[in-house]
Amino acid sequence: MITVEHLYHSYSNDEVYAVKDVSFDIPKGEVFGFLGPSGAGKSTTQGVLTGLLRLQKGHVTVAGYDVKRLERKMFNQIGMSFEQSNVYSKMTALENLKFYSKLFDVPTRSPEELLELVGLSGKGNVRAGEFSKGMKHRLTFARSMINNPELWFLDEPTTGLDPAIASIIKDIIREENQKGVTVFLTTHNMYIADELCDRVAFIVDGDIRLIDSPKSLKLQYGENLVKVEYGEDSKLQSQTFSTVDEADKKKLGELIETKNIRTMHTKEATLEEIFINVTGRGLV
Amino acid sequence: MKLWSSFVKELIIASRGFYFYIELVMAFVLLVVLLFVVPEHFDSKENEYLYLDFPTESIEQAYIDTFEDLDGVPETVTLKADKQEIGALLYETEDNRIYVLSSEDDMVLLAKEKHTVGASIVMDADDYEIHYTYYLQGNETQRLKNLVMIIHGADDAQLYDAAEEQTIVTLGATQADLSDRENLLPVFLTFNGALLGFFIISAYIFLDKKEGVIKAYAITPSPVWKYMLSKVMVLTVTMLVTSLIIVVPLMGLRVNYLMLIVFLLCTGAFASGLGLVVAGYYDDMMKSFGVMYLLMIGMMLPALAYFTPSWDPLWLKFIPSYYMVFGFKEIFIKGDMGFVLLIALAYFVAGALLFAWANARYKRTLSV
Repeated sequence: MITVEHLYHSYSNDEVYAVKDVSFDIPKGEVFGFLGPSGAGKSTTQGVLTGLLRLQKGHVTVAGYDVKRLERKMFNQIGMSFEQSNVYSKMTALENLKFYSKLFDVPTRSPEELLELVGLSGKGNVRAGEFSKGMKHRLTFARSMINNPELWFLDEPTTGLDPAIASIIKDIIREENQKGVTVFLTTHNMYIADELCDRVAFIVDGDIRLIDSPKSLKLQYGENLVKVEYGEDSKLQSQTFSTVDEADKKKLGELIETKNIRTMHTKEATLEEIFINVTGRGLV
Repeated sequence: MKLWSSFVKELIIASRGFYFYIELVMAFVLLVVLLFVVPEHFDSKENEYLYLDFPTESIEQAYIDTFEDLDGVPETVTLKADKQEIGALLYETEDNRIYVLSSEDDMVLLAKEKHTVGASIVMDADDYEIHYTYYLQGNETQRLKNLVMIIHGADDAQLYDAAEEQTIVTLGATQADLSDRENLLPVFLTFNGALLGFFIISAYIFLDKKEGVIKAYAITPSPVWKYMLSKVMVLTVTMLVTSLIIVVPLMGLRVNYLMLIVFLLCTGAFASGLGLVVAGYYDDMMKSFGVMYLLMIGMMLPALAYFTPSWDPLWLKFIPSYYMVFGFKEIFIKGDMGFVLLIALAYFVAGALLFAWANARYKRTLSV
């Protein structure tokens, strides 16, 4: 669905690159996470892929279209949810969605249905300017689905949302992905990336350091340990066991049989820990 | 369809915004000013205060009768100056109101208070020689002062003969006359349409930049130029409506409305294009204020030439609004419509070029 080969981009049109020699492929139906701290080059890469930024150097195809010779009809297949909500504040939620639906040449979704999907039913006739930040964000998110995109760019889709709404948004992303929609998720939130992405790319200083699936990364970088907390003599005790060592496995079994187990966690690495391990940088 | 949807959207936004009503209110304010403040014809008569000191009344009357167009029938009036009431005889000609006063002190007082010219004309009782003393304000040109000094040295008969020999040819005799009030319309339309329009389209763009909606529009199959053209269309429609609000009550059916509409559309296209280009180089209204202010002041300069026909330097003709003012005037006086069409075309072409420039600028400066 997306092919990027040796992409470079400089805002100052010189050798100072915001992204340099970036290459990756995203097959149809994948949820691809583009992870990195602020200023890493995430938005620049996404800007080139969506045509907001001119392709300077490299080869990029999006939904079968060469971005160098951008054709407007490509956007019939693309949806984009921005990090900063950008809807017409003087228009109602319904007017916003209806207006955008008329800009596409493909069948579009019902604005009412989309509002309901993101929890804004009953707010259709309220001007977007009167919405809270979170509501505007949901409206921006709903708008990105108006044309039934085959390729969906999501820039920090859960930023600023309360956990319940964020959970709804994640469910929608999963549902759309199950229908075959390819998702390009830009975020610095490792939890959402871990939950949703088939593969993630770590980008730092305009450079992709690693591309792999979260599961594979955890196996690769995590430790094969289990931490057990249990009650003994009215106190909470804890022990860590290897899940590979036979002696430890035996001890763990005995502990489970004889003690009052309170918690038991595998010591797999989080994506954030892996990111720091790989790039030497934090995510903020 | 996409352009139409964008246009309808812009109309909705404009109707819910502040600037749309500024334009409407401004049009009504201008109309009210023209109808109720500006007189149909300005009073252009000049007041002159004279003190005549002649040996006998008959000689004084004979002198007065030589004033051109005087019927010799004065009106007795009372003037006020420095809290005093001053009696005077008023002789009214086509161009002047001549107040003949009974004392030189009164004449000097009135010349001083009313900031106009006073004169004392004294005839020597012995040799019947006339002596003229003028009281000027001090701000008169040297040319006028020189004229005052030499005019009485020339032979009256010679002056009259020279004046008689002058041929006056009225150019454009077929053109309609405008009242002083109607004569203000070209400047008002230029200000209301072109200059205000230029400012307001920039305001619309800055509002959209603030909301980030241009980026959202850019990721649709509809090109950015349609977004910009829809703004131009809304602005042109508003400009058309506000201009007609002013013109129709004042001019009625005495205007070639087709030509006026064509001219308004073309000048509107130009003003919008200019506004789009300026807005393309700045992030918000405050940052662009200096340039916009300079442009608006510059564009107002041709109005000075319009009201001061003797001041019409060549450089002024390079300011685009110059031809707007004179184009509107040409339409109202039913003058050379070929000239009007030519400048309308020029504005349209200039507007299209500015639009293309703005389009390239917006495409290049869309950021992530």
